[in-house]
This record gives sequence, structure tokens and C-alpha cells, in this order.
Amino acid sequence: MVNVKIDGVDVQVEPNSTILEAAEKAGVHIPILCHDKVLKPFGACRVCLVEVKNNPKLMTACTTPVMDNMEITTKNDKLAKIRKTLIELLLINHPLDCPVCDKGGECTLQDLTYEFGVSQVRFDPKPNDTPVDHTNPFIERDIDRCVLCGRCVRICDEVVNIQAISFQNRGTDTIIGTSFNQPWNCEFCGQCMSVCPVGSLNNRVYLFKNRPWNLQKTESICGLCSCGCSILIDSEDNEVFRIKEDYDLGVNKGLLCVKGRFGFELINNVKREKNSKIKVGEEFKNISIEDAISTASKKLAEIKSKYGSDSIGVVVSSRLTNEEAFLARKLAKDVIGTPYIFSSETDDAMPEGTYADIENADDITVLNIDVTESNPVLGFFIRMTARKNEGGLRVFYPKMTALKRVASEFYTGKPSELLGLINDFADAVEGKSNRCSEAASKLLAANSPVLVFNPYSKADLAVVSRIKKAQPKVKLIPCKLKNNSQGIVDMGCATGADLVDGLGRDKIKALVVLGENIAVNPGYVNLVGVLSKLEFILSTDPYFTETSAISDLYIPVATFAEKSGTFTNFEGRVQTVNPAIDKGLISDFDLLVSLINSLGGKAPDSVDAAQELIRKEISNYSGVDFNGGVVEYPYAVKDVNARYEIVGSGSYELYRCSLRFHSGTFTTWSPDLTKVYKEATIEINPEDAADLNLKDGDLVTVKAGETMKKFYVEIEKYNPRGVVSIPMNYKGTEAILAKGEYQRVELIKHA
Amino acid sequence: MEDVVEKEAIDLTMIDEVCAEYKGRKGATIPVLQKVQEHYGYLSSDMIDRIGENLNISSHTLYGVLTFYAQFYTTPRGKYVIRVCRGTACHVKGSGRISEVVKEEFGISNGETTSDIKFTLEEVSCIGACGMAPVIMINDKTYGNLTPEQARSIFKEYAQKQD
Repeated sequence: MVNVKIDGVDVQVEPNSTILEAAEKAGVHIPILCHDKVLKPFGACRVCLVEVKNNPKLMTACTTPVMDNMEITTKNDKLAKIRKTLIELLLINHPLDCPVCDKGGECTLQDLTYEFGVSQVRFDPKPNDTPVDHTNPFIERDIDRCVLCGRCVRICDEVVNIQAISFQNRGTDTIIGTSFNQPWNCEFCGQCMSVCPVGSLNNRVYLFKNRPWNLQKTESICGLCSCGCSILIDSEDNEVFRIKEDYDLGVNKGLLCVKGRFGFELINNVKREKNSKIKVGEEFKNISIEDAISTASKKLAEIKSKYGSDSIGVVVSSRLTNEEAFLARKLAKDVIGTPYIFSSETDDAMPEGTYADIENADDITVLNIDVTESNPVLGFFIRMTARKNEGGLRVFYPKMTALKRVASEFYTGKPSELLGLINDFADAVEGKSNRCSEAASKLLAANSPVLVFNPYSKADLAVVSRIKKAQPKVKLIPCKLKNNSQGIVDMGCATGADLVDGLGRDKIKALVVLGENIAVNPGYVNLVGVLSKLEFILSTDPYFTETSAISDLYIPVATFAEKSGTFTNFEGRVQTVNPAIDKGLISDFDLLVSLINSLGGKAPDSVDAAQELIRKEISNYSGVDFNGGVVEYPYAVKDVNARYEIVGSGSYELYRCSLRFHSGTFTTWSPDLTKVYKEATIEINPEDAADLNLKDGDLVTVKAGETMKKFYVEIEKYNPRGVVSIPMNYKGTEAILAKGEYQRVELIKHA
Repeated sequence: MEDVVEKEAIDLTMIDEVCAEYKGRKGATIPVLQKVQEHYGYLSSDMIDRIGENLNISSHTLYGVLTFYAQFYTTPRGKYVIRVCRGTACHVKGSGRISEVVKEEFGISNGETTSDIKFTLEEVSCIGACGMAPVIMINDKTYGNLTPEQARSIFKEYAQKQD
């Protein structure tokens, strides 16, 4: 430890700490502008200059390491004068348009101006007058307000590892921008915006809608994928105005993705249904929520007494909270008495690895999933670790993904070749093959390896279980799809019961569909005809979906921003969701309580009471802290026997890809996310496109067996030749994608 | 905005060869940019993207580097680069008039290139030949003690060169 004295306060700090860190420990405030604790020290702005005894020069506190017995002064007249002048100089070019700047009230430059007592500018102001850049739907860029602290450039480089922006030109001409001033075209994670100390990078979804001091902050968990990111929901008058990060909070350490940060308008969307609806003939009629609940319970009781308790099925969405899923199972098992609980989740793979395991990993394998798209924040952690380790990242995926820049081994290719290679790799890990042996021996020699995979692919699971057996040290990370994909498995809703099978046997007469859009889910695609034969379908969803349209009774329910409960993320971490707003809609929880009680059961009367019951009945949840505790699971992956299979015939190989901007049907309700990606497109290699005379945005028909479906073309230079891809879980893709994970298709160009 | 004139496709395969030579080496960026520019005369967006793909570096980072250095150009350079010295001695001896003559003859200002990509005007700070001020350089050749009219006839001579 090193002893230093800061403004007369003695403090002991680790060697190699900076003066700034020592000052924080001593409780001494040093102003900063370009520094950010998530970034490496930079020392660009000079606002943190301090005096060090016996040192003739002033030192920047953010970059200078402490030495033993250093005596530091952070406040005196000389420093005050210098700091004040620095701000005055910045204000020559920085326009004083604070009244119309969205950053007003939370602007570091504004705060420093006030702190240093700058009340007039001695220099002639020369604000630039460059047009504001509106070329992307998420981040508004006003380069005139930029103070060139470089936080955005550095976070995009050091943390996000994409380097989508850089410093350009030199001296007084320096600006932050892109290559040849192209429009910003990146992942739009918005990390750059979150660290901007001035109003140069602004949230366009929030722009000019409110002022920060009006907003109420609610700490919660994002409900748009299984990463389990902590978010701050900024709201006023039951409207969500923005989603903010907190770099001290949560497993995500403040990092957010485009969905989590900019997709929130789906909560406010005016298209959200406010009324329950009942089908009368071919039309839907509005009814009160009380009438809807009593109709539902009457109908269910009637069908149960007429056809028996196993004539009712309950479909549970992976978006429900643990408490809701628990009640859904209670309703099905204990109250109705049916074995038919359906969900699109399986218990084949359980959480094992955590974010900390990723950070400490010395070898990461990403198997056949584009994690940067499916679970973007997990992708950040993988990229950061690979960057730190300068390698040790092995990726198998048909095309290059955003892991490309940091991956040390990237295996791409046609599925027909790549899948063989993956098998070779598994063989080599098991010691049965010499092919891929270099990669395999690295994995076998690693001390803390991690394997990231897609738990929904049986063939991938088979490979994962082989690797896990051969290298037990490997920590498995299943990239679950939705915010509570794991939780509903834990609550007993992944029974393995197959909806298609259950309905096919004509036993089921009624379905309670809780938040799942079964009409567009590739797993359920052949159901629509069967569903119309059912006597009664109750559907709940924040939106009136394709499934709602074929149901007999629809009840609009709360989103994750409007309810309490817990979600379990892909690590098996249980985290608390807090309501930020109230749209006057019932939650699935309250609906289930009413249904259970009116059907003769006894439901817990609050979320807290439900949690007590969960602790009693779900054994691995009994001792877990519901606010960040990690559940322990008896196994990580089941023995799965499955082989890769490419079905169908045709000249192109088709695989399912993930989509960063959307996690399925729910996020398509965000008007902002749909600005960048509206409909599912087919990605095709430029040379293949040229052969077929196709351009970006052309329509092409995909023919898989007898099924034909039109898609818009998107040229993707990283897709190998002869390979095309379509995003999963997207409206309109189900008929094609239901045929198989990998398939051969024909492409037919439209005249 | 759509390009009205379709640009002639430039064969960029030379970039792959240059990058292959430097791949995996640290500090490759500047030598690669120099070699590519030496070959094509400038660095275009497509070239930068291609270099980025090859070296696994973001094109935005590369662009940041190339705009930092005066030695890199992002637009095609003329066959003849006219460097007009604007140092103190040349300035006093009327080098401003010589820049004007270039403008009169070719219609280009500092940093610009004629549309036939024959001439580029570059005003430089000092080329170290103050004794012969005002002085210009056309590619590697130096012309000193110029009057505007002498300069004009030199430019005309170059303009008539055919090859």
C-alpha cells in the first residue's frame, strides 16, 4: 500500500492507483470532464489538474499514478484560475444553447461552468454552425457541442470493441466521425451517447420530450432478452421517457443494447389495446375486465366439467415473471388439474456460467450462435474478454459476426461444411479425431474455458454435452431467448408437453394462452387450423396479436415496466422487476390470481406471498436472494442425442440467424426499432445476388419444398456463397423456418 | 444522392497483396496506407474498407489515422502536383499571384484537382529554397525566381504535354 496526503487528508491506496482514485478514497472531490471510470485514463481535458508537492508541473489527477508520501493539493487559487480558464476556452466553440439542449440539467460542462464560477466569457465566442446529423433513428449528433473529450470514441473502442467512430483531422479541425463521413451505421448500442458529457450525442427517442429533473427513476430489469440487464426506467405521469444505464448497477455493469435502450416506446405505443375483447360471431366486442375474468372462469369451468380437466391447456410465455409462471402452473396443475402446460422452452440446458466466468475466461468458444445479435450485452463481455486476453476466442458460425474483430479463430462456411467441422471439433476434444486438434487442445489445456451456445438446437446440444464430458472444466452458457426463458423452466412450465401433439390428439378443447404469440411461432406453425376447432381460447398480451385475433377472449395486460416480480436470466440469476408506471391494465399475475380463486383454488394475494410459496415449493429457489442471487442447478446439459441435418433440396443452404434489433414479435411494436428493421429479410452473398440479378430491397421468393414465401433481399458480404439466412422468431418466417434448422431452398426472382 | 456518372471500377486486388505482407504485424497501418496510396495515388472509401477487412481494423479508425497525416489524400491527385511555396520569403516576393495564375489557368484552388485529374494545387509552407523565391515545384522539378507570366508559360507547357 502507498501513503498519500490529499488536501491534508491521509489515505492509503493500492500502488498504481491514480491520484483521482486516491482522492475518491479520501473523500476529496476533483472535477473531471474527459475521464470516465469505465474507460482507461486519457488526460485530454486538463480539468483535473492538481498540484503535487516538489513537482514544478501541474499533474492530471486522472492519469498520474500515486507515489509513496505524495502530497497533493487539489484546491487553491492557482488551480481555480486554470480550471476556470479551461472552461472559458471550451465555451469559445461550444454553443450556449442550453435552453434547447436535451442535456440541460445533467450536463458535465454545465455543472463545471457553475462549479468554477464562470459567469462571463472573456473571449469572443465562435460557436460552429454545422448542421445536426439526423441520419440514424437513435442517436442525434450535434458536433458543434462536442468538447472532444473522446469518451464516445474510447467506449466504442475499449468496451464495445466495434470502433464505429474515431477522431478525425487534426488540431482545431478535429471532429468525431465516421469513415468518409458516412452515416453512423453500427449496432446502435448507444454506449457512446451514455458517456457523452455534453449534448453532442443525444437520444432521439427521448429528444425534446422532457427534462431530466421531471423524471422519476425506477430501478428494474430489462424485459427484452435473457441478459438480465439492470436498467433505470425514467418516467413521468405513467409514461416511460427513456431507459438509462447506471454504470454501478447490475450484471451488465451499465452496458445496454439497442433494444434495451431505444426500444422502450413499445411500452407507450398508442396501439396498445386498453380494452378486453370478446368474440361475438366474427367481430370483437369490448367488455370490462371484470366481465372478461368472469367469462373466462365460467367458460373454463364449463369445459372442465363437460370434457374433463385434461381438456384444457395452458400456454406460458417466456416473458412472464417467475411469480406469474408459478401461478400459471398452479392454475393448470392444482386448480384445473391438467398435465398440459406448454411453453417454447426446454430443460435440456441449464445455466452454469456467469458474466464473471466470461470475464475470467482464458478460452471462449461460441458455438453456432451470433451472440452479439441474440444477447448483445453478453456479446460485449465476450468481446471485452477476448480483447483483454488478445485471443482465446473461437467462433463457429456460418458467417463472420461482430466477434470478428477480436476472435482468434473464426470458422465460417456453408452449413454443410461447417457442421461437419463442428463435429470434427467435438471429436477432437474427445480425442477421437486429429482434425481440428489444435483448437481442441487449446480448449483442453484451458484453465477456465467457457462455451456459449444455442440451447434450442438439439444438434448443438448434443455437441455441447460431448464437449462438457470431455472437458468438465468448461462452463456452459446457454443463450436463452427471452427475459425469463430460464424462470419459466424453473417454475415447472417446461413440461416437455408438445402443443402440436396435444392439440393433434383432439383432447384439448380450450387453451389459456398467456402472452405467447403462438400463431407466428415457428414451433407452432401448423396449429392455426387446429386452433380454430377449439371451443375456447383465452389470450393475454400487451398487444392485440395474431394469436389474439384467433382467440375468443382477449385481455390486454401489463408489460415488464408495469409490474412487480422477478426474472431469472441466462446465468440463473433471479432479479427483481419493479413497476415504473401504471397504464391501468391488469398484470398476468392479478389475472391468474382471479382465475385461480374463481375456479375454486386459493391463490397467494400478493407477489411477496407468491415468492414465499416459490421458496417452499421450488427447492433450488428456497435459499436464493430474489434480488440478484444465483440459482444452483443439478446439471448444465442433458445427454442429448441428435445429429445435424440439412433438410429439403435446392441450390442454396438456409440457416436461421438472430436479429439484434428484435427479439421476436414483441419488439416489433417499437416504432423506433422498426425504423431500422421492419420486416424479415433474406440475407444473401453479393455474388449470389449478382448471379440472380438481385439488388438490396428486391423481392425474392424462397421455395422450401412446397412452401413459398416472399422476402426482401439484403446483401450481406459476410454470408458465404450459396448460403442465405432468415431471422428467427419473426412474423412471416414461421412457415419456412418450421421445416428445419438448416435446409436447402431455391430462390426465385420476381419479374 | 445518387452518383450520376458511374465510376470506373478500380482493381483493388493489389491491396490484398500489400496487406498479406503486413498481416499480423504491429504498426502495419501507416506503411500499408502509404503503399496503397503510392499505387493508386490516393485512398478512397472502398480502399479503406478493403484494407480494414484485410487487417481486421475498423475503417473508421483507419480514416482517423489518414486524416491526421498531411501525407495521405482522400481524393485523386493530379498527374502533376503543383506545390506553390507560401513561406515568408515567397509570400513577400508575390507567391500569392502565382496561386492566382494556377486558378486562372486550371480553375483550381489550394487542395483541388482538375476534373481531368491532370493538375493538383497544393500551397505549402516552405520548400527550403528561399533564395530563389518565389518558388514552385511541379512533381519533383523546382522552378524559382518566377514572375506570374513565367509561371503561366510553365503551366501551359505542362498542359500541352501528351502522354
